[in-house]
Amino acid sequence: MSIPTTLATVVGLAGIAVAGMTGGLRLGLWSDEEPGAGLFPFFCAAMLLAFLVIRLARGRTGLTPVMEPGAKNPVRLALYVAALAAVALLFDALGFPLAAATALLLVLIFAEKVPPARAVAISACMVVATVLLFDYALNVPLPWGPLASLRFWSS
Amino acid sequence: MEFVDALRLGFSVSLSWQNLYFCLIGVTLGTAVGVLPGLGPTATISLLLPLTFRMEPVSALIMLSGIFYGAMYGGSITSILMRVPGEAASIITCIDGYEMARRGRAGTALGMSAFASFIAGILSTIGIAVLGPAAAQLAFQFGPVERASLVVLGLIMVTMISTGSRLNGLAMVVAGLLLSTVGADFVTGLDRFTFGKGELSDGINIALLAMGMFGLSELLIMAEKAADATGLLAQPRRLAEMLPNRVDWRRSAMPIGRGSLVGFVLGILPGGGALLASFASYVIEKRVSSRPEDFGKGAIQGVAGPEAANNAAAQGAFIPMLSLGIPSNAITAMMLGALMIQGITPGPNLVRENPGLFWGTITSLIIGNGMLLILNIPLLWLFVMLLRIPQYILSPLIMLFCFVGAFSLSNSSFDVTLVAAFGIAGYVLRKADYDPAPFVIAFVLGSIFEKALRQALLLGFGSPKIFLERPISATLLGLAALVLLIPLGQRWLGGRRGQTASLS
Repeated sequence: MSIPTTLATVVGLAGIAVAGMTGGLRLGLWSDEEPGAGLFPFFCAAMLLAFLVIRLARGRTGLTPVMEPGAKNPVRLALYVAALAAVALLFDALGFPLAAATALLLVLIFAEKVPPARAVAISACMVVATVLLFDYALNVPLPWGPLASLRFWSS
Repeated sequence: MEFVDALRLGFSVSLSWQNLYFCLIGVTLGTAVGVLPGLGPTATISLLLPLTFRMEPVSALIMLSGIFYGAMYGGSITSILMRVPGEAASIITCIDGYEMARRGRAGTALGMSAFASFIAGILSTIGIAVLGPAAAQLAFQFGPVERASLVVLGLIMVTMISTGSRLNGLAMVVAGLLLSTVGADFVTGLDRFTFGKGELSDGINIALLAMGMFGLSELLIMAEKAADATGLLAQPRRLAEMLPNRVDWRRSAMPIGRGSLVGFVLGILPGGGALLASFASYVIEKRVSSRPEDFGKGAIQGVAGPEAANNAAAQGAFIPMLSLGIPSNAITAMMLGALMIQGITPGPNLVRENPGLFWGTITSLIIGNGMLLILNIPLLWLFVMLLRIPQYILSPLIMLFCFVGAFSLSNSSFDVTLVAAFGIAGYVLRKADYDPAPFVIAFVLGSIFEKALRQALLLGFGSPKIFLERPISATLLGLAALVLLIPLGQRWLGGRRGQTASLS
């Protein structure tokens, strides 16, 4: 990660800290001679802000990124992030089997460069195995979305 | 009752065929539950509680105990193989256990985890038998003031396990504490930082945070590396090569002993003591090691000590539960409930009125740990085989398991969104030199800390002086100050010596 990106992360955390302090004040720090609901979050947020400011005050030394050896593949990373987002966003609308299959195909075909036919087979096996283990065996009622009619067992 | 007579009675109860059978069911179920993300011993025990009504009380307790420490071991398996902690107490094992797996030593890590747990189980059972109810008096001394101070000490120690700078570790600790405030305030009932989302009223589940910040963020870290640069070394194929060797045992012996002691003492203390045990052990091992720089890079001491502490604490938690009727955590609270439904009231009279139940349960801990060893050592090759699955299949599979595990917590798709968000957040934080381990541990301790802190301030009529007026609390805070200030002092002295040397 570059210094500007690390800086953005630190600033983002500082924003969360400020929001925490504001929220804590709104909840009330003290009421009826006892700690209010906002005291603890305000205190934690204030300390977080203090530590972040100290890091910023150290300048480039404090923001020097973690240097990891080896080549990087940002495209593959982006595809995995997209897969995570796909499952999160499509889970309700498409149900688990289709959302999972979408994410798996995205990862296998585009990120891992697996031949499409093989990717479809692997995805199908993974989804079926997961459904059988969790939904059928362990009774976790996964959403099926448009494929609900395929679920032949009852909860 | 004499120590030997007590153990003899205990073994005569726990070695009956019925109790052996239930112990086996418990540890097997517990291991399976610990491995599967999202499921946990708490949910499993709650589901099985109605079944225990028809069982003998000692059989019920033996089975439920087996689930408890079986889940501890199961959680370690996923921590080591996939960097997905199955339990909060397994978070520490992720640090060095997973690194050992990356270096081709997954079997050694898993094996040492099992052996350390077994040895700690024996040592803590001896501790229980020798100290037993007397040690429970320590739990009696622990009120909210002492609990808050213990957590402060724990939080300071948490920063020492951070792989980044101390300052960043402290930032992550307070960030974790801040995140723990999400949800309804336990005193006023006001929703805090829920943004109108009803799903957040009960707070954020630790399993979501752990799966996201450890499991999914590790996926993203691996994904970012070029395909041939994942750094995973080949695993040995023969079981004999997977087991810990003489050097491993020499390095692990003292950590196991120290971890057992630390875990036993902390496990007795109600309210988070057991959770503190594993990373207190890690911190101690890192401090006393002649090569602290090895920690975080696959040091076997970083697995042996915490795993021993973990198991010792799990067993130490039985002392206040059985002797005083004080549960240390949700699991022992449910076991307490199971006993009370059967008409047995744990407390100071239990050892006298129902010695078979007490000592039968205690000795079953040794038997159960032995079963775990016998079951899991031969299966090491099977667990390690999982790592031979190509990364392009393993990574998506882990992703799927995390999402399903997240959903299974409360059948909510919001949790799926949360775990994905935590995964991305965990990646970003790691790249910015923020270690997620202190963040997640502080999150777990946060609710315990806030509750104890507010209760303590109520007891002190709003004055924080109460923390210094109570001797145990003052001692713990003093230790916390030492732990925080000693490294600073050492650095300052080192700087002055350097200046003096350069001037002379």
